[in-house]
Amino acid sequence: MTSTIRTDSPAWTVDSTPKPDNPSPLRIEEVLYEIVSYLDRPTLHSCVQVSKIWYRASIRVLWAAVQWKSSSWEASFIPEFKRYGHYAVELQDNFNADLDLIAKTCNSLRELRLTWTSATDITLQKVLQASPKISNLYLFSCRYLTQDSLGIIGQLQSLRRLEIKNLTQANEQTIVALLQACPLLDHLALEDVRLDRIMLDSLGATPLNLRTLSLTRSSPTGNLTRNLLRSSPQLLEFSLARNLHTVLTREDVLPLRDMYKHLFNLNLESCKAITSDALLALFYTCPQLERVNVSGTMMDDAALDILAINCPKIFSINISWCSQISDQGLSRFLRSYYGLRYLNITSASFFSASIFEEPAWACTGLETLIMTGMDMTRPHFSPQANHALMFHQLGRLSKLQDLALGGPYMDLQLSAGMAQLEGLVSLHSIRITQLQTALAEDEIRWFVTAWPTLRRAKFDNESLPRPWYRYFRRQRPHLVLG
Amino acid sequence: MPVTLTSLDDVKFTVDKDVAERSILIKNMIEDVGESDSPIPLPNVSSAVLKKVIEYCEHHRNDPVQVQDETDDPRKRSNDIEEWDMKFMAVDQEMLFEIILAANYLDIKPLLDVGCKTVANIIKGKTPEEIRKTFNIVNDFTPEEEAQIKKENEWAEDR
Repeated sequence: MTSTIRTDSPAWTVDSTPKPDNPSPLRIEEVLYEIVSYLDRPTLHSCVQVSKIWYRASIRVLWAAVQWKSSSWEASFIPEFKRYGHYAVELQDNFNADLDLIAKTCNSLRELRLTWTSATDITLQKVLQASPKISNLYLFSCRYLTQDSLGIIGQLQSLRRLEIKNLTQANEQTIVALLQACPLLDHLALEDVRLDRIMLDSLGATPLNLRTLSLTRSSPTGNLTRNLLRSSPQLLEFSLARNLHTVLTREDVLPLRDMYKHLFNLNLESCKAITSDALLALFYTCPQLERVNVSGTMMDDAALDILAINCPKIFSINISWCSQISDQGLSRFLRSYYGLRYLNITSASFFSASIFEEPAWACTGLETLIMTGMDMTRPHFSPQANHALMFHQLGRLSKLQDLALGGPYMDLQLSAGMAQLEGLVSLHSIRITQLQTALAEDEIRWFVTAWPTLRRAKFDNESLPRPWYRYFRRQRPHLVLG
Repeated sequence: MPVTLTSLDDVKFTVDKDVAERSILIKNMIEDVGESDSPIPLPNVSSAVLKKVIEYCEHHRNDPVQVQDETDDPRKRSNDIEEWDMKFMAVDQEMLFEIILAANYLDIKPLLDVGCKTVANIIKGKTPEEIRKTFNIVNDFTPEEEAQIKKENEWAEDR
């Protein structure tokens, strides 16, 4: 016999003085997941906002019930779709998918992801017309789509996130129309979308709602960048990654004086043609910056100094392959800047071991350090002395969890003081590649016993001869060995 | 053949084997150890909770074993609690939580389900702040994170 329960609990009393270590099923994610899986959507929306563990448990229920994904098109689509909900469709590598059928069946989609499908402008239009409330749209490598699809997307009034990859055509009018038609759009990511002839001069002065803007490998013109940035006063994340040859001046990346008030994530990876004075000007105006990737750019000592002074919240920086930064500039940064947790200084001998000379680094909270390709032949004549400097400096990084070492000048020897790396008491993973000479027996035996916290180790064949792998595996059976 | 269970506070309960074996944990223990007179220690369950759990198992001793119905609606419903179970669950928050923990630990799926449904019915229709207040939960999001999450999932509010 069954009966309907009241929404209010029977005999409910709120315990106003909970014992602090009182075990609660609400702190066990799996149990919490069981609980929230009985809830309706509006209540689930409340649950995701309660706390982090509540978020993890209930986001699974909220979204898992609505995703449908398949790599092959089968007659089972409709029953599957009816069973798993009506809010999201994801099609991947699926050229047989019948988008007409999706348009006919689905009229309340919130999210649509199409990757490598045969979608055309016409079929896309049908799907979008059927579900005008789509808020997240991802179109990756759908090669039959043309620039007209941008105009079709512009019909989505509630669009918030738009990501497009691999669209060879795009023109001024369609992009402007799209930006103006979707007032809620706050996340725009274009990758491999040809923007090299687009100026966006007709964008107008109405501010956009963009918080995240990413123009990856799309060769945006200076004008386009300037106009888009000028209209996005609320930008939090900005990426121009891998626009290798796009010449961007100071005015292009900094069209307004204090335009990056809120920006916390900046990615300019491989933007070789952004001048160093433009970078310097950028860092002058980004007080909230937390993560910055300027790998392979013209970043120089002056810009690094400005970064250290003006951006006190930086905790992650990738300055790999920055040939304009000197040992002195890097040393200054490492000895004065405290807050760093992630550092990547991989290069081809741009930096020498003199960065390890005393005094000690200030960034003792470093958790990830990636430094392959160091020049270990300087500053001292003897490489062993240089290695000693390195081991001494690194041994102090007691918070370090991930370490990558290697390169043609690197030689890991106990006789140079490698045992000091025992100070890395938090180390979880280590990666060693392309050593000058392979690790010798003593060093391997030392590695095997060092760092009880280690969970992952990766060596290339040159650094750790194959026969030793088995020894390693036997001694540390729980280690993931790459 | 009766089985003896010992609670956290060292109180002994003697129950029939088929009642005790409603708990998959105990069932497996008995299978592993074989028939024996020595009591089974349950160091995670207090006597007050164990008493309740045994009461549940005795009432449901003849229930058929639950099978997952694959063709069933994946959306689970919480308004199908039996009347006896509903009365059984009419306890204070602390006891309810302890019953759920015990059901989880002892692996008694139907009891865990009833407990979870009961908590779900309390949560139903509440705002985030009301949920936090009801269960004394600390909000560990930054205001930005909270706003972001609220926004990303806003569609769930639409009917």
